[in-house]
Amino acid sequence: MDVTSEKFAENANRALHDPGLQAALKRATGKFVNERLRAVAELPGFEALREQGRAIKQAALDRLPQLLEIFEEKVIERGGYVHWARDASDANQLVINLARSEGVKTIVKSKSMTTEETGLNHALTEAGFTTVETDLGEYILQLDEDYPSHIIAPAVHKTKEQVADIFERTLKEKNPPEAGIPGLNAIARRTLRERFLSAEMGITGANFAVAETGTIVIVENEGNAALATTLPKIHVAVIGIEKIVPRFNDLAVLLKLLPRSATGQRLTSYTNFLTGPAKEGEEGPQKLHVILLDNGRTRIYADDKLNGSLRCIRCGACLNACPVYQKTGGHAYGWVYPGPIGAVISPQYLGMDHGHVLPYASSLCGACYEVCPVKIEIPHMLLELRNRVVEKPSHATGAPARRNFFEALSFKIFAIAGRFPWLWQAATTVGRHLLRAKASAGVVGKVSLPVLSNWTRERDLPEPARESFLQQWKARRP
Amino acid sequence: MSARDEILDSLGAAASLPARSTGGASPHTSQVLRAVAGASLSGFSRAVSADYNDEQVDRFCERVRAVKGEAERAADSFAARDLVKALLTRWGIRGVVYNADPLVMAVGLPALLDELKIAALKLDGGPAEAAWREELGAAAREKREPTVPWDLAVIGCEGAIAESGTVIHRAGKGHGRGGWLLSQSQLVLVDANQLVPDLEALFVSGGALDRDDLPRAITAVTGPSRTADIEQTLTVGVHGPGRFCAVVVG
Repeated sequence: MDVTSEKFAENANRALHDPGLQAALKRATGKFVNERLRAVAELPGFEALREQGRAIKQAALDRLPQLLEIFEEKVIERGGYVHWARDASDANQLVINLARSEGVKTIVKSKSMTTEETGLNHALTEAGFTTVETDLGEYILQLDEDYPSHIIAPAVHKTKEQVADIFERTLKEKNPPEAGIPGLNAIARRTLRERFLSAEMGITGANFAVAETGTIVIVENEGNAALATTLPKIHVAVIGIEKIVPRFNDLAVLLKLLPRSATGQRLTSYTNFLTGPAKEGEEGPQKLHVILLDNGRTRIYADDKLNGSLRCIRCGACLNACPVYQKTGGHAYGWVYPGPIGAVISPQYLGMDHGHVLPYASSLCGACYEVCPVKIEIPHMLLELRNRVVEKPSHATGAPARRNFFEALSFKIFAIAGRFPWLWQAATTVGRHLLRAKASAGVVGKVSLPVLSNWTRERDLPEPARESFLQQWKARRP
Repeated sequence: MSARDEILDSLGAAASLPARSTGGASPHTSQVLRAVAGASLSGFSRAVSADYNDEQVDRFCERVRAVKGEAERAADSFAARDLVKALLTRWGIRGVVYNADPLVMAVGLPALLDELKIAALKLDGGPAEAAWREELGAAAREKREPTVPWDLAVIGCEGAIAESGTVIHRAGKGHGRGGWLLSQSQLVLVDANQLVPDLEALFVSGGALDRDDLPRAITAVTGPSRTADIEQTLTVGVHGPGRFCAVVVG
């Protein structure tokens, strides 16, 4: 996919003027937020559980290289194969080679952000394989040559009418309006059933990879991951190296956190624990290939300030809680990972040339941290990234927001005025009177001055009070 | 240098861990896992009773219904047989796939299906099951109904969680994983003594999720297959069974 992260403002502006998208975002994020609140409220000690989740993932990161070796050993012990990929291209080529060597023609995929990151579908199609996404949302997007806008609800930006059009155009299947969403669901079930039964290879990601046992864990609601890891003769799991957890019992904590944080479910409809390939005469894939993907993760790991972002378990809770994501949706972020966590990790995966705008796509309200099941300090990381944009402007190809001359000047004036109370009062008095003179009906309106013009272009600056806060304080103090 | 060594060396250097021995010998598993033990299940060491608990059964049934499933109770395997018979009739079932779980056999399912003249297929991985799958594939390809409408899978389970209304299925010979996944509906017989209160209990009880005895696949099933991918509207049966019914026996 084309990366457009550097055009966040432009993308966001387009999203803000799309009424259909605004309605869809309001409905989806509102529902996810409420469901999560309900699920958290019924579980005593949820905060302690968050702390435990943080500790488990952090302990896994602290020992990551050793745990990866143990995981590899256990997978091999159970009869599986382990491959290592430096980057997206390596990972895709490994899958292509495996498919070619096994004479595979048709591949079914279950939803995986990691393979979205590597662009695996595109690579497989280019190489001549028939690859079918089987998660309903992902299937719709694949048919429409679109890409996900939410980590757990990929097609959140599509209406049922759009989906009906997509099915009619691409599958030649007409859904009568009275059949509604269940009708669309039935078309997908019927169409994909044949794919499941004929595919030679199933490709998945993983939510967790357990070092102690070599187990891959996949949580899902549709049953497509269960089918993709049962019916085809080969299972390939593409897993980011940060998905490792030390022990099998750690899952008891993480599986309580993930579905509750994501959709408010106590457990998802299907939680799959997969350990090795099928034994002789058993049902299931005869071969299991695990591809462990770096693709920039070792770079993030070496970064003391930002490596906590590797704790992310991809629940999407920070997206739903974020006032920016709630209005802009996922496509505005211009790459695979949207929302607050995307604003942190995309600049690290893509480099600052593409990602330098994303750390500013936040109000720093802290809602993302409050809901994060593994307590990733997203606001602090966003500030750190902003600092790097300012300190190292060469990272940015365009004009990074904080390198604006007038903005830098404003901050300098602000810093000087802040040191001298008389100067501060004089400056704010003049400013207050000027803004009041311009105001009409309680709103200042657009201000054609450097810095302020950017701020007031999309916001209503309220008319300042007649007296300053200090004057009011002095007058009212008993 | 291989991708493996490159990745592990980069991580090792960043984590300030001792350099790996040449030849990539793996670290001592128990030593490493012990080192991270402090982060793990310290709070879950309580004893877990898997004894019959009426409150637990009620909670399980309530939680199954909360996820759009159905739940019934039967005092014993005789009552369960009557209940299954009533359900098969009420749902108008024409074909059943089943596994040889002890509870399924205890309710006498094969004889019951015979009595009701319902087509039956045992999920034993044999030629009949292979032919059944072939037919399902052909029917989907040709956009027609299968020659026998296999409406329902009747299976047992390896454990159940009251807190979430979840049943645990293992893969392996005679478990029929593909069979129940491909069915329209799923009826699961649960022995009341298989119930544990919550997810942690299942991990520490050494039962269905025993880390020392992991089969190729375990699936924790909580209600019917579901999706809300279109306009956040919940619909069931997108890939797996669209109807999920648990019958708790005992």
